[in-house]
Amino acid sequence: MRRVSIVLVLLLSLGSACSDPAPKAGSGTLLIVVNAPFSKAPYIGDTIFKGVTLAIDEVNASGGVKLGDASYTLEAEKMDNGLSPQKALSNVRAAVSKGAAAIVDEGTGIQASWAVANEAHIPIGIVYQGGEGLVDPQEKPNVFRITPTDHGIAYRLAEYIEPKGLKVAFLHDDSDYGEQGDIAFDDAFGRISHAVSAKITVPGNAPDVSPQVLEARRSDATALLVWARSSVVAEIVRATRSSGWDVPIYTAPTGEDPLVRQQLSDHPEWIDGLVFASGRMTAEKGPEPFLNFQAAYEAKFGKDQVGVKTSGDKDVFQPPDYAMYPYDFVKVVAAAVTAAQTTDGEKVIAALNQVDVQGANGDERGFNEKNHEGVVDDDVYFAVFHDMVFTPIKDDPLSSTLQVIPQTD
Amino acid sequence: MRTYRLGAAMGALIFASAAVTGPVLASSKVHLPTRKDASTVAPGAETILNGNAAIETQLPGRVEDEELIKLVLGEDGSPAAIIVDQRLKLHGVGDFSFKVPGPAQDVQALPGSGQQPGLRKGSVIWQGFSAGKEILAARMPLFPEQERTRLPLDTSFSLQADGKPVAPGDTLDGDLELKFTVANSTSSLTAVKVGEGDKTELASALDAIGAELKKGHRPAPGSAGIPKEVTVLGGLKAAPRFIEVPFHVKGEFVFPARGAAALAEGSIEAEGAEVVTRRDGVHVRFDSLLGGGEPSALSIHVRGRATGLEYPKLEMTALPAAPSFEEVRPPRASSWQKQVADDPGAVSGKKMLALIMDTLWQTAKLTRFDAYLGNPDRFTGESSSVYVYKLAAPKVTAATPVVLTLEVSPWLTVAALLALLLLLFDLTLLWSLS
Repeated sequence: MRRVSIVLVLLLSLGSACSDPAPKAGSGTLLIVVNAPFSKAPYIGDTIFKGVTLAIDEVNASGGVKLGDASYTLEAEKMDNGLSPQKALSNVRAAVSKGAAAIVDEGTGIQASWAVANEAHIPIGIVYQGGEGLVDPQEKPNVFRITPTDHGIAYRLAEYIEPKGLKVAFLHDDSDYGEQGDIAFDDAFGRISHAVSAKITVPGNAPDVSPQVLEARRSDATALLVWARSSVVAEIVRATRSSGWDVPIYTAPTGEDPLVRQQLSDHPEWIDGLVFASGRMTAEKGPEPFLNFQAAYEAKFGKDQVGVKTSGDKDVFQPPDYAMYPYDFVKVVAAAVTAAQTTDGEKVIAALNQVDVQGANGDERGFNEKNHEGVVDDDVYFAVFHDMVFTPIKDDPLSSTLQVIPQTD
Repeated sequence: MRTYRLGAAMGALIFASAAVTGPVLASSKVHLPTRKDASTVAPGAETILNGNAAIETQLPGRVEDEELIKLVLGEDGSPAAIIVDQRLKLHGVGDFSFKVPGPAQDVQALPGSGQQPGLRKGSVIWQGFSAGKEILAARMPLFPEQERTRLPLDTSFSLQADGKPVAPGDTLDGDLELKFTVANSTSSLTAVKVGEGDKTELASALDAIGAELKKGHRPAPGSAGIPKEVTVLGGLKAAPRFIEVPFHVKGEFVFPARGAAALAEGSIEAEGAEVVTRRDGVHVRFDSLLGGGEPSALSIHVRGRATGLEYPKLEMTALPAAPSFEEVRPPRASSWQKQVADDPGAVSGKKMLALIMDTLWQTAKLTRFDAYLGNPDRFTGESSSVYVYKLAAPKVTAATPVVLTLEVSPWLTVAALLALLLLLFDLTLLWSLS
């Protein structure tokens, strides 16, 4: 009997697979799937999801996406990738079966999952990982990105550090993030090899990073550049400062992660002077667009507390800069659907190449036929920590034009 | 009858008295045209036309534009391909975003470019941040059919041997005849202010303009003694006139040496060009200003007797140029001021003003062709464009690959699928019953 039931299930499955797949989302709803590491990197996953839902709320509040006389509301669904490429791929398959209109993706597993989404004509927006090879308008027409690229960050770091006459020891971990950073570093610093004293890999599961820091010191480095997950950044800063080495430390965007400050809260002075590269929060138009975005974000979700205090005993909160990118991507998708006047995925993907929206920070956000990167490499800025908060540095032409965003009350 | 004669006499008396004293005309000032006046772009046009696909121009400072427009001419002399290399140099610190309208078929960054260009429906997009100086350089193939109406010169070409057309790659044998015409096609209707001018003032302006043209400079109101405005006596009106932008063309056809030896000695004749025989071949050279006081077209006609001659090469460069001094040469005297002093009746203030307007409009409109694709800094940016023409090279035909296709009847496909499903069903049933 049991075997007959199984047979019937198999036959039914076969039958449904042979028929046209009915869209799982309602005809008046467009589903945005968020494929992110909610369990393994909750700060990243949650930030992305908040950016998406804030944008969705705003689009829906203004009447949704209008197609002729019809109006579509947006809704979001979380899928945890656990930082696993296999899980990320499985999530994209699930998104396809649910008839998702778009996928907002942290970036893990894109090299496999993009083709599955492409076959179903679903656009993917990468909003965290900046690695090379993930975005290619010719090869992967459905993949877009709104976040600073590793290429841009590495080149800006090279252009900023090299004139200072420093000799950099480059430390990266063996995560995907760190390995991609290594590739970008080679590309940017390969032309100024005289400025590099050492390249050192830090194993992610290393109980102690002191040997790697010592190796860097013995290379006569006069600066450290760290490209690693935030926990590894914190360990390297601790190992460096606790040994009495007062060398300047520069990091990729993970230096900004609240986890770094949390893990070094027992020695806040060790954070002082740490410089990180990231995408700028404000633009030439001034801070108003970002402050408006921040106000809307905090009204909906509250402030993102870092969990540390300044020397004046003030709670530090994190500006929602990484929430800007998923927010902007949802807005661009909504604009593309409106421009295409259809939910047909192929046409929406084509329209994504033609539309612009004003991004959360005031920058124009959009893509084009030759370029699916929504953050220009030039828009990378540098900020320095002091007393647990960060401000744009003054000795870089772009950074010096940017306003300080408050991080305490 | 008596009343009529009295009225006519009184009319004659009034007219005579007016002729003695001269009519009292109100005077006004008329602005002389500059390159700013030649710009026809309306502010905000980008957003009006393109809505949320608009990219408004944002620049940190002035922009220098250098363009190399490379044209390949087909067998009939019309453009078969057009590729533009544009190099923009941005000055100033700040964000930039702008569109180069094209339309371009494609775009790729050139070496030295600080950014990668984008492309949207034929328009090239640049965005980024300038830290003081930024170079943006790109190569853009355009659509030849669309560019024909926009190019400054019309070209036509024919090459025959013994009365039969010769194609690239063919060998020329027999009586050779080459015809090449290049014509200025920039003429456009412009509303030009016309009126009666003060001859003394206009003579001074014309001499200043002439002095600039003699040096090969572009006369500009407000510099080198050229006033920004002149006095007009009486009414002023706008009259539509065709204004042509002068172009200087210089180039040569080269018949390569192997073939040149096969050109019978002394059998070459050329009209409109100079023939120079050198070790590397026969050069048919030309150098002319088209428009701006000179003829608008140049025709070259080459005849000769050839044996085993190779298809010729063309190298021609065209540059937007200031009008010729001939445009403003005084009719009799050595200067306009002398002309007006010595023989004021020989020239009219109306014609002198018209001459100034024509010459300055020709110069102002040069800006349109100085920036063929366009400088985003329309009013203060310096631009220069060089147009280079070549004849198409002989085409190399690749072997056509053989493609094998297997056609399967759709009914056969359906039958196969059904058989497979039936087999699957049988197997699962057997398993369930086992």
